[in-house]
Amino acid sequence: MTRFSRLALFLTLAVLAAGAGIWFAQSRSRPASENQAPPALWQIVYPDPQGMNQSLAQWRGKPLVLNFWASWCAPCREEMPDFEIVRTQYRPAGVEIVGIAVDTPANVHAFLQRQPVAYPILIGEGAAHNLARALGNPQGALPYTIVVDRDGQIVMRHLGRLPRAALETVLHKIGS
Amino acid sequence: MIPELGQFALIVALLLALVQAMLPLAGAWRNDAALMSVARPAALAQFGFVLVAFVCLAISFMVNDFSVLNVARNSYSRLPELYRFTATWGSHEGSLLLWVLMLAFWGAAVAVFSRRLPDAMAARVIGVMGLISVGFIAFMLITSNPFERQLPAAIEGNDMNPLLQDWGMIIHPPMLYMGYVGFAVAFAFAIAALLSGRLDAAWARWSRPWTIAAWTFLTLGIVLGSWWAYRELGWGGWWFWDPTENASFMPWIAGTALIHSLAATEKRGVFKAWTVLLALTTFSLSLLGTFLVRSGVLSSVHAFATDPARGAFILGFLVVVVGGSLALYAWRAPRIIAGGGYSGFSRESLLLANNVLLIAALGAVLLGTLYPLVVDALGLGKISVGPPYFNAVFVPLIAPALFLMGIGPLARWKNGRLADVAARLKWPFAAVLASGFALAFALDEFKPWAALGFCLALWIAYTVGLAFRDRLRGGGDLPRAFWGMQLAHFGMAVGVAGIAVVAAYSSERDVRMAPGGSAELAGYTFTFRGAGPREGPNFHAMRGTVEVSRNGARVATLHPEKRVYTASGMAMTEASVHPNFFRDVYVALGEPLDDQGAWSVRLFHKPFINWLWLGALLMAIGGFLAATDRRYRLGRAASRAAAKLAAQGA
Repeated sequence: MTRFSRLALFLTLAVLAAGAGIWFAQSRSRPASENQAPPALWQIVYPDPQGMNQSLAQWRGKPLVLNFWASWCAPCREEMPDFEIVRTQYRPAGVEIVGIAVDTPANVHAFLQRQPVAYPILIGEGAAHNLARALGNPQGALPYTIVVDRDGQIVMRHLGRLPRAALETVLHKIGS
Repeated sequence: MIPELGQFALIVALLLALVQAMLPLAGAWRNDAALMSVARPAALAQFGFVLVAFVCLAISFMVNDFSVLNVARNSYSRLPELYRFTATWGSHEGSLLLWVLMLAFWGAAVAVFSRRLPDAMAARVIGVMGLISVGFIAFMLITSNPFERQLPAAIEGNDMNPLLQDWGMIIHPPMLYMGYVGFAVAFAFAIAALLSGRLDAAWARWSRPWTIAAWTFLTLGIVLGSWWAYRELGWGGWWFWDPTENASFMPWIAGTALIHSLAATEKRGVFKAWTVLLALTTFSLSLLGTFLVRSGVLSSVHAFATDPARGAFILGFLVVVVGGSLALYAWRAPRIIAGGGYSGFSRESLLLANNVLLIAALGAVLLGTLYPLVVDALGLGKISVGPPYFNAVFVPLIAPALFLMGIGPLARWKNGRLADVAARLKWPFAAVLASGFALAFALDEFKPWAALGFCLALWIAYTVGLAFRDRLRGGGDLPRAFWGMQLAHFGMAVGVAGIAVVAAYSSERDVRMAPGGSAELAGYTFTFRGAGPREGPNFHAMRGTVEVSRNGARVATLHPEKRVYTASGMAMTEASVHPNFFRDVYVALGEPLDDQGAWSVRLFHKPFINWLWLGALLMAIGGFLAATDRRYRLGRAASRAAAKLAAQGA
């Protein structure tokens, strides 16, 4: 085999392997029912910064924005003020925003002392990472935000800093 | 006058660097001794002029010459003298000048200590270093001139970033840069080998001390940065997997792989092409780190003003250096003749396995560092992958490498016998496993990761002891390089033990403390005695007094501060730490809570944290010992003796 054909063979194999990997990851990450929030979501209980257990079920039936964040994540910190503005705007329509920290209680406490947040914060630690994955975030990167409407349908999934306008558009559609 | 002198010296240095790059390389190519002999004086002269430029900038800072833009932006008349001096490299422009100074220093060092190198090799090495200097000095003069004037002059400066006003910061950048830039020497040696086709044991022996020296500086630089973050950021953390930290950690991983691969190349003539590739990779990662930190693509403490021209220049330079060296590699590497063979179980194969693990870990860190940047660049949003990702990928790759690190030095070169080593290490392995788990059980709460850390630390420490026993039984003396290697490995054991404990058993509390109130943490009682004002030279502070006691006995009185810097208005937390061999007690002031003098206070108990710094220090001392082994220095006398013998034989 000449050098060139060997190189071509390697390249083809590499491309095929990468393709297979991407396909495999994609096919695994798609939840079975595309848009219905998994029933398990409503059974989840995480502590809030005061240490009281809070169940996600208390927000069932309302338009709900779930934002996965962490204190070490710069874009998460940047978008939090946006969430506060949106929350005051859409509170009358019953919308709630909940920040689930993929972080340790100590980090969350230290962070909230520096930058207090008005909307409810739950401390999910490592388990929240798996929840975010189950809700369609295979990379596990942050911030990750989903919007669930009154019927428990996931109407938006967004990885990365969420532009305020995009969130407002979605909430406008389902809020009223 | 002084700044103009500095500017002029920098321009002369650029021209000298051009001479240093062009003439010797041309001379080596045409085998012209006259052209090659330009290399050494040019390198020394270039260093001299860069030094003049650096001194000029330092003088401008010391005399508060606020007509220099850089001084006005980064200094302040009431800044203490020491910090006025270190502010010289506190800015983007100044730190680049420090980078260039270090590069010129390494070039000059090669010129001085390369007398026993063949002229063509020395000319090529020094020439390549000159090329790198050209790139960086041009970058400074074009986009980041430290001597730029502003007229009329500012009356007062903006002050140095308060975060940098700490003595850890005084030595962190010079050490880090000595490391980053030191790999330029390894890079230059690799390019010289590719150009000349000479890639033998002698080549590996020449490049080894330089590479180890650079690695030693980088180790010190990284650990100083980590120590600074721990003390100065007030979060009690020592490693955040922040992109700027990763930028220095990636060349360190590659450099670690390189010094081990070089050892195999020198001793056994194996892995030649791999060693060269690693040398290119290590320096490329140093440049990538510089690009990430200097171009402003990252926003953090380190990233200075964003200027697209700067980013574009460094990116272009990066492409030229990385692309050019890889193209040269692709063209010349097939000519490298592979060295001796080795069996499936030998020191070579173990070193190779560790190299593969290190490079895989490096790839994982690189991916995690660049992925958010790529996603952002493609306009797909700003994301962050943080400690969960890095811990999940890094630990499983490094743990087996640490296990192999224990076996490697005990295996024979070329042809080891797995059965012998297994028979020898079978019981110690069981004992290490048992005592590692027993230690983890003995502590307040069993944590599997801590048990793994203890096992690995004990394993490495035990095998280090065994290596010493073997060596002494063999009747041989203990050369410095042997001490260096074992000390560095032992330092790793100490560091791993420290990481295991501090990661698993640290505790911290956020408490509201009124004067006279107290709080408990990890068996210590912290009593708050209130906070009062204190005037610093360039800041106002609220200074708290916290008495720490244990079982009624007084341990320490700590004075954490909350500072507001006058010129910049920036608030800073100055933590107060009481260290000892087994733990740190660490107190940081949060915010004042009411008019009665209550504050929010953060208390930390960090067991074994100092083992981490100690381990890194041992590694650096090991590196220093290995780099200064006589074997590398006596090369000249030995080769002269060999030449004499050859002459007599002929």
